[in-house]
Amino acid sequence: MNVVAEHSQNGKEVTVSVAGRFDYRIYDSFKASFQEIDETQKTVNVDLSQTDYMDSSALGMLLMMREHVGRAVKICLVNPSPDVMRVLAIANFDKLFSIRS
Amino acid sequence: MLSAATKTHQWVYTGHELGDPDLLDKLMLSLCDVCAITYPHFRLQLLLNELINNAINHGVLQLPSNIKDSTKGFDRFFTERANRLRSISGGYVSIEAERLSENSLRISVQDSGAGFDAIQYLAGTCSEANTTTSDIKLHGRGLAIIHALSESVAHAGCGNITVVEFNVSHA
Repeated sequence: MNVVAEHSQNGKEVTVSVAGRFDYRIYDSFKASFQEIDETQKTVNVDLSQTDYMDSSALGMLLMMREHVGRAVKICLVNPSPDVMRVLAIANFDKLFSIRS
Repeated sequence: MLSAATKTHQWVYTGHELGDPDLLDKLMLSLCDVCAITYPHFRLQLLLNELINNAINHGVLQLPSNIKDSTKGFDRFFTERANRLRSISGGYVSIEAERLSENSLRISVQDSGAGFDAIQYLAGTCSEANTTTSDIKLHGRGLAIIHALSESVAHAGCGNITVVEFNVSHA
Protein backbone atom coordinates (compact mmCIF):
# COMPACT_ATOMS: atom_id res chain seq x y z
CA MET A 1 0.00 0.00 0.00
CA ASN A 2 1.25 3.47 -0.88
CA VAL A 3 -0.96 5.19 1.67
CA VAL A 4 -1.26 3.97 5.25
CA ALA A 5 -3.24 5.65 8.03
CA GLU A 6 -2.45 4.87 11.66
CA HIS A 7 -4.49 6.13 14.60
CA SER A 8 -2.71 6.72 17.91
CA GLN A 9 -3.92 4.79 20.97
CA ASN A 10 -5.46 7.84 22.63
CA GLY A 11 -7.29 8.65 19.41
CA LYS A 12 -5.93 12.19 19.31
CA GLU A 13 -3.50 11.75 16.48
CA VAL A 14 -3.51 10.20 13.04
CA THR A 15 -0.46 9.57 10.91
CA VAL A 16 -0.95 9.19 7.18
CA SER A 17 2.16 7.90 5.41
CA VAL A 18 2.61 8.28 1.68
CA ALA A 19 5.32 6.08 0.19
CA GLY A 20 6.66 6.45 -3.34
CA ARG A 21 4.79 8.78 -5.62
CA PHE A 22 2.29 11.28 -4.40
CA ASP A 23 0.23 12.09 -7.50
CA TYR A 24 -3.26 11.54 -8.92
CA ARG A 25 -2.68 7.82 -9.15
CA ILE A 26 -3.10 7.49 -5.38
CA TYR A 27 -6.12 9.79 -5.32
CA ASP A 28 -8.60 7.16 -4.12
CA SER A 29 -6.42 5.73 -1.37
CA PHE A 30 -5.29 9.14 -0.12
CA LYS A 31 -8.86 10.38 0.00
CA ALA A 32 -9.93 7.25 1.87
CA SER A 33 -7.17 7.82 4.43
CA PHE A 34 -8.77 10.93 5.89
CA GLN A 35 -12.50 10.17 5.62
CA GLU A 36 -12.58 8.96 9.25
CA ILE A 37 -10.75 11.99 10.60
CA ASP A 38 -12.83 14.66 12.30
CA GLU A 39 -12.50 17.25 15.03
CA THR A 40 -12.12 14.67 17.79
CA GLN A 41 -8.53 14.36 16.60
CA LYS A 42 -6.02 17.08 17.39
CA THR A 43 -3.29 16.41 14.87
CA VAL A 44 -2.85 14.75 11.52
CA ASN A 45 0.73 13.97 10.60
CA VAL A 46 1.31 13.43 6.91
CA ASP A 47 4.53 11.45 6.83
CA LEU A 48 6.38 12.37 3.65
CA SER A 49 9.69 10.73 4.57
CA GLN A 50 9.10 7.94 2.04
CA THR A 51 7.60 10.23 -0.60
CA ASP A 52 9.99 10.49 -3.52
CA TYR A 53 7.80 12.46 -5.89
CA MET A 54 5.02 15.01 -5.60
CA ASP A 55 3.05 17.06 -8.17
CA SER A 56 0.30 19.67 -8.23
CA SER A 57 -2.44 17.07 -7.82
CA ALA A 58 -0.81 16.06 -4.51
CA LEU A 59 -0.97 19.69 -3.42
CA GLY A 60 -4.65 19.67 -4.31
CA MET A 61 -5.19 16.49 -2.30
CA LEU A 62 -3.53 18.04 0.76
CA LEU A 63 -5.90 20.99 0.46
CA MET A 64 -8.82 18.56 0.22
CA MET A 65 -7.65 17.00 3.46
CA ARG A 66 -7.30 20.46 5.04
CA GLU A 67 -10.87 21.28 4.06
CA HIS A 68 -12.26 17.92 5.18
CA VAL A 69 -10.75 17.75 8.67
CA GLY A 70 -11.62 21.34 9.56
CA ARG A 71 -9.69 24.22 11.06
CA ALA A 72 -9.55 22.78 14.58
CA VAL A 73 -7.29 19.93 13.48
CA LYS A 74 -3.62 20.70 12.96
CA ILE A 75 -1.98 19.16 9.90
CA CYS A 76 1.76 18.56 10.06
CA LEU A 77 3.77 17.62 6.99
CA VAL A 78 6.60 15.51 8.33
CA ASN A 79 10.07 14.93 6.90
CA PRO A 80 9.75 16.00 3.26
CA SER A 81 12.84 15.45 1.11
CA PRO A 82 14.50 18.61 -0.27
CA ASP A 83 12.84 17.98 -3.66
CA VAL A 84 9.40 17.56 -2.11
CA MET A 85 10.03 20.58 0.12
CA ARG A 86 10.70 22.67 -2.98
CA VAL A 87 7.30 21.76 -4.41
CA LEU A 88 5.64 22.68 -1.11
CA ALA A 89 7.48 26.00 -1.07
CA ILE A 90 6.50 26.87 -4.67
CA ALA A 91 2.86 26.54 -3.63
CA ASN A 92 3.38 28.51 -0.39
CA PHE A 93 2.37 25.43 1.58
CA ASP A 94 4.92 26.33 4.22
CA LYS A 95 2.38 29.01 5.18
CA LEU A 96 -0.70 26.79 5.00
CA PHE A 97 0.63 23.78 6.91
CA SER A 98 3.23 23.28 9.56
CA ILE A 99 6.22 21.44 8.19
CA ARG A 100 8.48 19.44 10.47
CA SER A 101 11.73 17.61 9.89
CA MET B 1 16.04 22.91 -41.43
CA LEU B 2 17.71 21.74 -38.28
CA SER B 3 21.19 22.99 -37.63
CA ALA B 4 23.87 20.36 -37.32
CA ALA B 5 24.50 21.25 -33.69
CA THR B 6 21.04 20.67 -32.28
CA LYS B 7 18.33 18.20 -32.97
CA THR B 8 14.65 18.43 -32.13
CA HIS B 9 13.03 15.28 -30.85
CA GLN B 10 9.31 14.77 -31.01
CA TRP B 11 6.77 12.56 -29.30
CA VAL B 12 3.10 12.49 -30.24
CA TYR B 13 0.38 10.84 -28.19
CA THR B 14 -3.12 10.50 -29.59
CA GLY B 15 -6.56 9.37 -28.46
CA HIS B 16 -6.55 6.54 -25.93
CA GLU B 17 -2.73 6.72 -25.58
CA LEU B 18 -3.37 9.83 -23.49
CA GLY B 19 -5.05 7.65 -20.86
CA ASP B 20 -1.97 5.48 -20.36
CA PRO B 21 -1.01 5.91 -16.69
CA ASP B 22 2.63 5.26 -17.64
CA LEU B 23 2.72 7.88 -20.42
CA LEU B 24 4.81 10.28 -18.35
CA ASP B 25 7.31 7.65 -17.25
CA LYS B 26 7.80 6.47 -20.82
CA LEU B 27 8.18 10.02 -22.12
CA MET B 28 10.60 10.93 -19.34
CA LEU B 29 12.81 7.89 -19.98
CA SER B 30 12.85 8.45 -23.72
CA LEU B 31 13.47 12.19 -23.44
CA CYS B 32 16.32 11.75 -20.97
CA ASP B 33 17.83 9.16 -23.24
CA VAL B 34 17.81 11.15 -26.47
CA CYS B 35 18.64 14.49 -24.82
CA ALA B 36 21.47 13.01 -22.72
CA ILE B 37 19.98 13.89 -19.34
CA THR B 38 20.73 11.84 -16.27
CA TYR B 39 17.66 9.94 -15.06
CA PRO B 40 15.94 10.33 -12.64
CA HIS B 41 15.60 14.10 -12.66
CA PHE B 42 12.95 15.26 -10.19
CA ARG B 43 12.52 18.82 -11.48
CA LEU B 44 12.33 17.81 -15.13
CA GLN B 45 9.85 15.03 -14.33
CA LEU B 46 7.67 17.49 -12.40
CA LEU B 47 7.85 20.08 -15.18
CA LEU B 48 6.85 17.52 -17.84
CA ASN B 49 4.14 16.19 -15.53
CA GLU B 50 2.54 19.63 -15.15
CA LEU B 51 2.93 20.54 -18.84
CA ILE B 52 1.40 17.27 -20.04
CA ASN B 53 -1.40 17.23 -17.49
CA ASN B 54 -2.38 20.78 -18.39
CA ALA B 55 -2.36 19.83 -22.07
CA ILE B 56 -4.47 16.71 -21.49
CA ASN B 57 -6.87 18.07 -18.87
CA HIS B 58 -7.55 21.54 -20.19
CA GLY B 59 -6.49 21.19 -23.83
CA VAL B 60 -7.63 17.80 -25.09
CA LEU B 61 -10.30 16.98 -22.50
CA GLN B 62 -11.51 20.57 -22.05
CA LEU B 63 -11.99 20.15 -18.31
CA PRO B 64 -12.58 23.55 -16.73
CA SER B 65 -10.20 24.32 -13.82
CA ASN B 66 -12.83 25.97 -11.71
CA ILE B 67 -14.64 22.64 -11.42
CA LYS B 68 -12.05 22.05 -8.66
CA ASP B 69 -13.18 25.00 -6.56
CA SER B 70 -14.58 22.81 -3.85
CA THR B 71 -13.64 19.42 -2.44
CA LYS B 72 -16.63 17.84 -4.15
CA GLY B 73 -15.60 19.53 -7.38
CA PHE B 74 -12.11 18.15 -7.02
CA ASP B 75 -13.69 14.72 -6.78
CA ARG B 76 -15.78 15.42 -9.84
CA PHE B 77 -12.72 16.64 -11.72
CA PHE B 78 -10.91 13.33 -11.24
CA THR B 79 -13.98 11.24 -12.00
CA GLU B 80 -14.75 13.28 -15.11
CA ARG B 81 -11.10 13.10 -16.21
CA ALA B 82 -11.12 9.30 -15.97
CA ASN B 83 -14.46 9.08 -17.81
CA ARG B 84 -13.37 11.33 -20.64
CA LEU B 85 -10.06 9.51 -21.01
CA ARG B 86 -11.89 6.19 -21.25
CA SER B 87 -14.16 7.34 -24.05
CA ILE B 88 -11.66 9.53 -25.88
CA SER B 89 -11.48 9.04 -29.65
CA GLY B 90 -9.50 11.98 -31.01
CA GLY B 91 -7.13 14.64 -29.82
CA TYR B 92 -3.39 14.73 -29.43
CA VAL B 93 -0.53 16.05 -27.33
CA SER B 94 2.75 16.67 -29.10
CA ILE B 95 6.00 17.23 -27.24
CA GLU B 96 9.20 18.59 -28.74
CA ALA B 97 12.50 18.75 -26.92
CA GLU B 98 15.76 20.25 -27.99
CA ARG B 99 19.01 20.44 -26.06
CA LEU B 100 20.08 24.02 -26.79
CA SER B 101 23.33 23.87 -24.87
CA GLU B 102 25.09 22.08 -22.06
CA ASN B 103 22.60 23.44 -19.51
CA SER B 104 19.59 24.45 -21.54
CA LEU B 105 16.70 22.36 -22.74
CA ARG B 106 13.76 23.75 -24.68
CA ILE B 107 10.48 21.89 -24.37
CA SER B 108 7.41 22.68 -26.41
CA VAL B 109 4.06 21.08 -25.66
CA GLN B 110 1.18 21.44 -28.08
CA ASP B 111 -2.31 20.05 -27.70
CA SER B 112 -5.32 19.72 -29.98
CA GLY B 113 -7.48 21.89 -27.72
CA ALA B 114 -8.90 25.34 -28.28
CA GLY B 115 -6.25 27.00 -26.11
CA PHE B 116 -6.80 29.29 -23.18
CA ASP B 117 -6.36 32.91 -22.29
CA ALA B 118 -2.96 32.68 -20.63
CA ILE B 119 -2.88 36.29 -19.52
CA GLN B 120 -6.22 36.12 -17.79
CA TYR B 121 -5.36 32.75 -16.31
CA LEU B 122 -2.01 33.94 -14.98
CA ALA B 123 -3.62 36.99 -13.40
CA GLY B 124 -5.85 34.58 -11.50
CA THR B 125 -2.88 32.47 -10.46
CA CYS B 126 -0.95 35.46 -9.14
CA SER B 127 -3.81 36.80 -7.07
CA GLU B 128 -4.26 33.30 -5.73
CA ALA B 129 -0.78 33.34 -4.23
CA ASN B 130 -1.91 36.27 -2.09
CA THR B 131 -5.05 34.69 -0.76
CA THR B 132 -5.25 33.91 2.92
CA THR B 133 -5.42 30.43 4.36
CA SER B 134 -9.16 30.77 4.85
CA ASP B 135 -9.61 31.25 1.15
CA ILE B 136 -8.18 28.06 -0.27
CA LYS B 137 -8.45 27.32 -3.95
CA LEU B 138 -7.98 23.90 -5.40
CA HIS B 139 -6.56 24.86 -8.80
CA GLY B 140 -3.89 27.04 -10.42
CA ARG B 141 -0.82 25.43 -8.90
CA GLY B 142 0.22 23.47 -11.98
CA LEU B 143 1.05 26.61 -13.91
CA ALA B 144 2.73 28.12 -10.84
CA ILE B 145 5.02 25.09 -10.71
CA ILE B 146 5.77 25.37 -14.45
CA HIS B 147 6.80 29.01 -13.96
CA ALA B 148 8.88 28.28 -10.87
CA LEU B 149 10.84 25.49 -12.56
CA SER B 150 11.44 27.18 -15.92
CA GLU B 151 13.89 29.86 -17.01
CA SER B 152 11.21 31.18 -19.35
CA VAL B 153 7.64 30.30 -20.29
CA ALA B 154 5.88 31.37 -23.47
CA HIS B 155 2.42 30.63 -24.78
CA ALA B 156 1.87 30.41 -28.51
CA GLY B 157 -0.71 29.38 -31.08
CA CYS B 158 -4.17 30.04 -29.67
CA GLY B 159 -2.83 29.26 -26.20
CA ASN B 160 -2.54 25.57 -27.07
CA ILE B 161 1.27 25.67 -27.26
CA THR B 162 3.52 26.17 -24.25
CA VAL B 163 7.25 26.61 -24.74
CA VAL B 164 9.60 26.52 -21.77
CA GLU B 165 13.33 26.76 -21.33
CA PHE B 166 14.68 24.60 -18.59
CA ASN B 167 18.06 24.65 -16.90
CA VAL B 168 19.10 21.01 -16.71
CA SER B 169 21.93 21.61 -14.27
CA HIS B 170 20.18 23.47 -11.44
CA ALA B 171 20.38 21.43 -8.27
